[in-house]
Amino acid sequence: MRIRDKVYVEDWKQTIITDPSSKIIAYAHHLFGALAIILIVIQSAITLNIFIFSLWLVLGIVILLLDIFGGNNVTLKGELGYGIMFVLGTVVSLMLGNVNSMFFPDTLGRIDIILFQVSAGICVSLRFLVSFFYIEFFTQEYDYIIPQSNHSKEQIQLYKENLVKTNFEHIEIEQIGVFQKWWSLFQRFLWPIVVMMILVIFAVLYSLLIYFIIPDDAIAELVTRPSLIVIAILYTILLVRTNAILPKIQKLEKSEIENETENIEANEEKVEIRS
Amino acid sequence: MKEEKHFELTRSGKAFILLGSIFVITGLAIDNYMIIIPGILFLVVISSTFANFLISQKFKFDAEISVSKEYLRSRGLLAVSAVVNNNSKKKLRVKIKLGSSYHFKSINIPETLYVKLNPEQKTRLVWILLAVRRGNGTIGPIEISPGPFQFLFTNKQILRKLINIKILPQRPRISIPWKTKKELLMKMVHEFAQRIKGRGDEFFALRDYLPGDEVKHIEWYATARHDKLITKEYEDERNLHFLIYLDLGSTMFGPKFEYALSSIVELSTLIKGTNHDLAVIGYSDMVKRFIVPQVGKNELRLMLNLYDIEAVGVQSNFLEAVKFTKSNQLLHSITIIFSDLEGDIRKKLKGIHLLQSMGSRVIFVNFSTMGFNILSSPSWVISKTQDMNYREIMNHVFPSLVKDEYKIREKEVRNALYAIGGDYIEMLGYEDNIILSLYRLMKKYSPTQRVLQEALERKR
Repeated sequence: MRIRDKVYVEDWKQTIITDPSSKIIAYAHHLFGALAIILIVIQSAITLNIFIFSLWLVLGIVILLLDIFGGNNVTLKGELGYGIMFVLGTVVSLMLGNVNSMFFPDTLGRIDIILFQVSAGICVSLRFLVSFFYIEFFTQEYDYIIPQSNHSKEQIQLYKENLVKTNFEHIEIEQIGVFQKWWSLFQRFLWPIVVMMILVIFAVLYSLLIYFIIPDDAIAELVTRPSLIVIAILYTILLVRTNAILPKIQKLEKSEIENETENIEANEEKVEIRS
Repeated sequence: MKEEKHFELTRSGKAFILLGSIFVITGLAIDNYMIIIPGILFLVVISSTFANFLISQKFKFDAEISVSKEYLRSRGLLAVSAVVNNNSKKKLRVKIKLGSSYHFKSINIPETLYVKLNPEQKTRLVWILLAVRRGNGTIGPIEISPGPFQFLFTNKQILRKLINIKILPQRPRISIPWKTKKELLMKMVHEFAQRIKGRGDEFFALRDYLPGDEVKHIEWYATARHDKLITKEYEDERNLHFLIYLDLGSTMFGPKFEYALSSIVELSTLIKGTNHDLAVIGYSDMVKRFIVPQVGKNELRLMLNLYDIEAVGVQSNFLEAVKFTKSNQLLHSITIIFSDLEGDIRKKLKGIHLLQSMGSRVIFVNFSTMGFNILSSPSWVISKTQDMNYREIMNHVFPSLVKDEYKIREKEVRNALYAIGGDYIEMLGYEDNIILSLYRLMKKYSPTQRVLQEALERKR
């Protein structure tokens, strides 16, 4: 809520947390986004397909402009928009793709195309990861006020001096730095990555097994890919189910706590009656 | 402290599960690693939030919050201390958020902090908050979030404790010395106190003896000097009865209303401990509040009555307030009206002559000056705009228009007040004070000033 008071505006200044690293992270987010688009545009230029090239050029310019005008304002909505634009571009270029295109399904074996695909994919993932980090640590309600005029500065100084040797004595709060924030985030990624790796390894082993049993056959293609897709779907279902179970766990916990408190209250009542 | 856990996959979290599976499945279907890799990232992110939910089930925290005071003046400071204890055996990096109502704003550090909590060790955090608004504020609860990506998956423990804090009208910027205050009061008593001749025991004047006067009051020396019967006249000196009308109309929103409340408190400190008294009537289209603080220990009590008073959204009608005064036969010798010049000015002045007939001196205090109304101050508006034409309009045209209108209104009010022997004063801003304004007014009544004015008139 805005405060329409001239004296307040003169005395105090509304400030949003400005770590120098926050700007770097926001720029890195733009950089990775732009890099991914540049890689795709270069690849589509190599394909000599004017439709794919112009499509990604237009998409790239749109995304770049959105990023520039958005500035440091990284939002989840913007990231979702970026992701959807990416999928749409891919689906459209899939229809227009030729043998040299990274969007053509039959070019999987070519190492140059795989390199382009993987590097663009890594850039996009890094952009998302950086934006998640930025949203988590730098955009959520981290505003505060700082004194501007002499009056307010003196007011704070006097107040702090009055509170010395009380419970409210002013202490510098040691907040964790950017590197520690990144480290804690990676620590939390560890287990999920291990689980995913095990799943992926199983999937690869399974597909290799099928190639071994039915070598160089059309059936292999028909079995491998669907099996990986099925695993992806199964994993999604697993996540959705876990989400559905959470409220039940919460309810169980709440009822347990309530039972405990009821028991305690009942015991207290008994004690009262006895006394 | 009551502990509550809160877990929830947010809407964005659900969207990212969907997006992840679409990316992976599409990527697999068309053999494109460019889409598979971000898709796997989305799934890993969501999985990490779930995994952390399972791990954080073991974590337990204790938190104690305490505040430095429970009553507070608006624009005053409040220290909040929170002692957080990490009961688990692991070193944790968590997000701690101090909840507070919109009355408070944190100074120098945000209300949300990222801190490291060592195992089984107490960490003390101190916030200094500024009370930006008057009213009933609350501090608490404290939220501790151990998991990552709270915008995708809310995973926090809420330690519920709410502390109610009453934020009273703000303190005036300048403090007036007690001596000046006393002097002002003396002057006001001298000028405005109702004197009833014939009763009491304070000497007033000598006059001719009239049949019916008491014989014991005859002044014999004067009788001998003038060769006729002369008697002493006594008078009864009454207390001052301040009656304050506070306008709660729609035009009084904002800082000027806040300062009007502060002025009432300032006046109450003036009469604290004296034998004068004070009553406050808050009125809009009808009388909303009638407060009679007791003489003596009245200041805090008055402030507690005023802390949740707010201007209402209707045009005020002064006649209703006067009717209330008359029907309840309220004693008053000085009536001070805290109002402004905006809105329907006739409605604001209707019934003002009745106060004079009830034997009261009326003082109208105008709060709608440039110092209070931020929108009428061009410099503030200009700092927000880049347009030069608009700038010129705001610099030259707008203030002159407003000033002309204000001058007309001020003249109207002055005329109405002078007709009934009342006075008009203005509060110029936070640097002004009601006591100082009244002091300036009383100078007008000082004998030397009167002689000077008479001499000036004679010269003309």
